[in-house]
Amino acid sequence: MIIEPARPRVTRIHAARKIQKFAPQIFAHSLKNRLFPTIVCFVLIFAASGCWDQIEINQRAFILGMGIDTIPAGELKPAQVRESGILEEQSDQLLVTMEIPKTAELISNQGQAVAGPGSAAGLKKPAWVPAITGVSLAQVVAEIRLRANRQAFLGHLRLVAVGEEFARRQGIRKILDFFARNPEIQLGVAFFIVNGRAQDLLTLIPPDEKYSAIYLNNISNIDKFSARLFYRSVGELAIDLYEDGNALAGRVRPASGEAVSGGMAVINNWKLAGFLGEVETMGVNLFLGRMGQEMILINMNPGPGAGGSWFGVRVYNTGQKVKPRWNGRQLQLDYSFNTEGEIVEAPYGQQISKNKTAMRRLEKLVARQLTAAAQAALTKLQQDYKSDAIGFGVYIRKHWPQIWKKIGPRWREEFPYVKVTVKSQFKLRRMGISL
Amino acid sequence: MMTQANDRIDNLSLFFLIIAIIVETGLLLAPRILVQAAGAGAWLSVAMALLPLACASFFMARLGQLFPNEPFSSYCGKIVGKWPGILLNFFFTGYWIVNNGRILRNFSDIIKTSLLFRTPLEVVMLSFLIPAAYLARCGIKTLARFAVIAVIISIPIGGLLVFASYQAWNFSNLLPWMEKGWLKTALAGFFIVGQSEGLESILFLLPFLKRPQKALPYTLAATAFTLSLMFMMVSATLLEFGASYTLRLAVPGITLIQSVELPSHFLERLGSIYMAIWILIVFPTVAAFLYLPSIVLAGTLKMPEPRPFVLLLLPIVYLTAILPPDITAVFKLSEMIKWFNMVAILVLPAILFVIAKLRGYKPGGNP
Repeated sequence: MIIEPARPRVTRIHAARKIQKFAPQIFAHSLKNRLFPTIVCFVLIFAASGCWDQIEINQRAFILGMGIDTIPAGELKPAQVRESGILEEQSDQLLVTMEIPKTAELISNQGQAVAGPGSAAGLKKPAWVPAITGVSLAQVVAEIRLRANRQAFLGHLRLVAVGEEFARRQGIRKILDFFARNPEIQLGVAFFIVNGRAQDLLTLIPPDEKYSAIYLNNISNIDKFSARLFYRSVGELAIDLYEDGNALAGRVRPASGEAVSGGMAVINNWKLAGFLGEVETMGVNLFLGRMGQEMILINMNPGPGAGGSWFGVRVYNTGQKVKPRWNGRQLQLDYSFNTEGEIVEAPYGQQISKNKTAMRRLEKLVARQLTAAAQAALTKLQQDYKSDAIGFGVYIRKHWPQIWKKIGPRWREEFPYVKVTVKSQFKLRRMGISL
Repeated sequence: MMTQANDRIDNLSLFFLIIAIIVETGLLLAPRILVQAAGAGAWLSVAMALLPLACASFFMARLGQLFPNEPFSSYCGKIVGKWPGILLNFFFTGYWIVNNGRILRNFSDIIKTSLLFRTPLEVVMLSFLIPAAYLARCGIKTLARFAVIAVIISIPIGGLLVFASYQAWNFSNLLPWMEKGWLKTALAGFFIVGQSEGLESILFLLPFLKRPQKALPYTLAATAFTLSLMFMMVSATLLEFGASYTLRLAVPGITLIQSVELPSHFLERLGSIYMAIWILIVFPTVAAFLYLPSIVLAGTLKMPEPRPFVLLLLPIVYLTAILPPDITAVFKLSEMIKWFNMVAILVLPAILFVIAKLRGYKPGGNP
């Protein structure tokens, strides 16, 4: 028989007495060790909770797009300017149109533009589009507080559109700093110069989007499929402009309820010098090496009464080489573009692949068209706008600093006289899925 | 809490600790400062900085190995004499206090600009400083453990975010290589030594190592690693913005991350996320810059326990941080203390090592 040793009986009363005896010591020891961390945690509850910065989502006015136009002096004055002793009267004022989504309507209408009174197309946008005047962008954005019961929030800004007149008269320098300085604003915001008034762009209802800002921001994804349009974000524009005051920007124009993007705006010394058409834009994209892909139409049977024989050719994969020549007085830049592509449409189902001579001729015609586009763009930039918006000067400074040392100080005067030769080569690689 | 007797770390922890101490707000500001000095060739300056930084960490590791298990506060008196030794100890104490104040202020300003717009600066500072003081009081082992966690979490995520900006990289922005001439490019490399405050901690951490004789490869690896991080940050900023625009940016590192856009906009405002992660990596720097002066003060004043000094230093660091009236004053302060940093990191350890060698000190034993 196994006899188990007697275990000490631990009764509840016994345990309670033990706790009573040692509790003060345990507590004192624990308090000593835990006092500092406890105080730290207590302080952090109040200090690290970020309550100062709390703004509820329903208290924010999300500005999606901003359109900036000019208004004639003396026509409209903001209240602050008219009040004596606050601000001196200024002649240069902005008219800023903003696109702010009405979140309640967005939910009730499931995001669709709906028929309603007050809009030209019979459609109503689920957005509030106020137009506010002021002497600076910061003033205008602050003004939103007085008109809405919400705090303006620029963290979701997607579009900055500048009206043609404003860009010509007042220039980009006046407004760019606001976007580059504000920590709320992302540098990837789309920037366009409007061929017309920016207000018209912000008020229209795009065909397949709820908001103009989102519609135009999406062009950043499309520009790689077309060389006839150009896209620049606020950040990219700022980088170009702070380099030498010249830059290229996307062009957009409002036309009968649509926003048509294509072509580009040329900025010279921070102000709009003019626009380039779609073919010229393709030429500039060749120089910039951002051709992406573009469809070119070639007539293989020109002449009166011939009826035309139009081939559709998709051009892509641009490679470029630049060679400078400096004779001590004049600079010459020799550009050569290497492109390739495929046939997307042949007239009357012609099987051009069986005719080598016709293929070579087609290649030559495409190359000639590309050269013509590049030269047209160059002529306009050098002769009409006198703007080195492509960045030849920056390229020379980076790659041939020795030449730049000589020509750099008088680059603005020299640029229109720089000789640029263009040579294009095109190689037909594919025919689609038919021969 | 740890006591100094068992408060020892291994060499791998030293590697992580050095990285965590050196990497702070300086890395985010470095592109602008270096572009100011070297133009588009700033990335070359970073590569050139490897030599002086490797020399500095070599001298520090070798000097520490001459006096194994002996704290700097004790052996520097043996090298240069009692009173100059005490003076040196106070120099380092002041150096850490001012640098800590500068880092704290820089960091709080960045947080306030990019994350907590309306939170008072004082609150941001204190909510950062008080937990850092708690960490410093816990001793080197806890500090090292925290550094390992901070480096493992922050650096890979930060690196990924920097590389996510690759779509907008323009490699011609790295040209011309020697925009301001080779001399200015090389000098800018030397200025990076002034940006690497925290490297001098090698001198003071060696006595806490389990195997101090094997420390040199780890210190060199940590130096090379932090320099590669700086190379990555400076190059990525230049590739994205170019030299002209980088000069206009207050904190280029943050703007770089803000410019990153992930496909389909599924994650936006990455700058805020990045800042939240960056807090982790700045935290050990502030804690170490409270811990290091406290052990030096305790050693100099022959006090057995360094912990009370952490709390004593806390208000001084806070005051140093709050004193500059505006951001330009902070930049001016950074510019000034750059020279002190160069003395503390490069000049003093080299001089001390040479004197110790001339006096016949050998690794592991006294003459």
